[in-house]
This record gives sequence, C-alpha cells and structure tokens, in this order.
Amino acid sequence: MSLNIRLKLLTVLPKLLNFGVSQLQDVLRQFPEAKTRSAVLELYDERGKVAFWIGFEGGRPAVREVDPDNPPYATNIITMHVDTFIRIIRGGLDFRTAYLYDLIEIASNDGLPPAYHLLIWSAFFDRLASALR
Amino acid sequence: MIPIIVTSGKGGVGKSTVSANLAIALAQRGIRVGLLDADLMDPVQHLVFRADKEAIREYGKQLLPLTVNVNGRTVEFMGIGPFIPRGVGVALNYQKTADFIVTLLKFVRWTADYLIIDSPPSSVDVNAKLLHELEGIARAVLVGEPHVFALEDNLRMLDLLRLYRADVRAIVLNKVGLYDPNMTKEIEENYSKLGLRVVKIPWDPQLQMGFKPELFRELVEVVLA
Repeated sequence: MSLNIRLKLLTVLPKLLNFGVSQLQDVLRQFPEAKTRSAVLELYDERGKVAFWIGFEGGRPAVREVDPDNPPYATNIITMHVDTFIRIIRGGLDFRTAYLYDLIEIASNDGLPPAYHLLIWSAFFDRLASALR
Repeated sequence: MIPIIVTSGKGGVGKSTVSANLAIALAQRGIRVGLLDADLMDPVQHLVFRADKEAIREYGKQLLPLTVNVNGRTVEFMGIGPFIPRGVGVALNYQKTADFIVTLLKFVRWTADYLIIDSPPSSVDVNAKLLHELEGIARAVLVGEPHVFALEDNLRMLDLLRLYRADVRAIVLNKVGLYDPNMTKEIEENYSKLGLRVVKIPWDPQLQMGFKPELFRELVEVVLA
C-alpha cells in the first residue's frame, strides 16, 4: 500500500477493516438488499492508490484490502482522492455532495447506471461515517 | 406508461406548479400517476409534496419510487431532491447528468399509467437526454407566461420537442391576468397560429404554495385525449 495513503488512513484503517464485523446487525437491518451488492473503493493520491473490497462474504458484510491493480469483481467501483474519503468519513463532506461536486467517480460493472449505485451507496457511507467517527 | 414532459423555454414560468397540479388532477380522476422531478439543478417537487429525505430502497434491480399523498390521492414520486443535502450546488458533467436521467426514468419501478416529467427550462443537457430517451413516445406540455420574451424562448423549445417527435398537446399560458391583456391576446394568437391548443391558467397567488387542481381540468382533458 502507498505509504503516504497509509499514513493518512492510519487512524481509520482498523475501524474500516473491522466495519463489517462490528456493524453486522445494523448493516443487515439497514441494507437488506446489500447482500447482492459489492464495491471496490479505490483511493488515490499523487503517489499511488489503494483499494478495498466492500460487500458480503458468506452472508456476512466484509471490508478487506485488495490489490488496486487487480481487484476482485464488484458490482461497482468507487474512486476518489484519499483526502475526499477522509473528509467524508470524518463528517466534513457528504458522500452525495462529493459526487455532485465531481470529486467521486463511480463505474458500474453490473449494467446498472452509476447514479443508481450512488443512491444506493449513499446511505451506506452515512452509516460508515457515523461508525468511524 | 405514457410520459408527459412539462417543459418551457424560459425558467420561472410555473412548470413545477403545472406538473404538480396536473399530477394531482389526474390522480383525482382515479388515474395512477407518477411524477419525476427531472430538474437536477433546482429540484423543488420534494418541497411541494413534502417528500422527506429517506433511505432509498430497491426491488430487484429497480429503485422504488417514494409515494406522496395530497388530499387522500397518492402519487409516485422520484427525483434527486430528497436525497441530496440542502443548499448544495449541482456541478454534474453531461455524462453524470445523462446517467441520472436514465436512472430516474428507466431504473425506477414506476407502476403509474402516466408519468409527469417536470423538466428544467430551455434546451439544457437534461432536456436533450430526456427527449432522446423518449423520442417518439412522449406527450408534452409547454408552459409559458403571456409575455413576448417567454414566447421567443418557447418557440425554440417547441422546435426541439417537434424535432424529437414529442406529441405537444398544449401550451399552458400561466399567470394570465398578471400582464397587459393586449400582450396576452397577441401571445395567444401567436401560439394558436402554430397549431397549439392554448390552455389558460389565471394568476393566482395561492398557486404559489398550494394545490388548485380544479384549475387544471381542461389540461387534464387535453393530455388524456
């Protein structure tokens, strides 16, 4: 992982990777449809990029770090600058706002429009930001 | 489902008022109605119908529309208004704009017989995408004030609607009584010469903040015919 990004993510990385486990019941209750949905969250800065896979594995929500150059399949890919991500999860920037400001790109792998994924993932990022704060 | 585009060449002429009242007036006839707020820059229908922010749900691979109620009448509703934070400027590029339009139009589980589409003014990219997606299948209602500037802008929009083979059912002359009666008469004659049915809605301050579907009965007949 890019050292620079790792440093920036230092305080949130353990919580992020543990999010699926610690928030299992809430995630299942709030996002029952999420079982069929997954995303690669790609974070970049001027020196490199990192990626996380977010989804359900064995019926349980999971977040795990993956190879950014060869990520596993996900229904969509969410790409943003690491600083944007940190602002979002610290509550300084709304996920939807970041998209409307053109700070986030969403690519779809399942035929659904990127805006569809945006609307679905917005509530998840609200929950993520709340949990990581 | 029959889409009805409510549009205009000029902003602020009352498209959202016409769209909302037309939706309610149709619902009062027992018709299943959907309302799509396609004005991505300045959505207001979620305020008109008090559609509060809520988590969006999906069914299969379609988003479920919200349902709004007015006087016991239910209207399916979708737009980005309820889902974006208040006061945030929308800086979508064309690709994202087009993507939103396709999502709201084709990836929402509409069950309505008629879908009223409140579109933004002028030939902005939203309208270009909307008309492209609905080419040859949409009905349309142009909205304008009885004012010469609104006429000029609506002539351009009318041309665009006809280019995309929209079935233009009427020009709604809104806020009749607010301007010089002679100018109103002249504008009405101009539209009539273009073969457009003119439906006049009187200036009524109560329409700014509320519903008066009884004023839209003639328009209902025109769009259903």
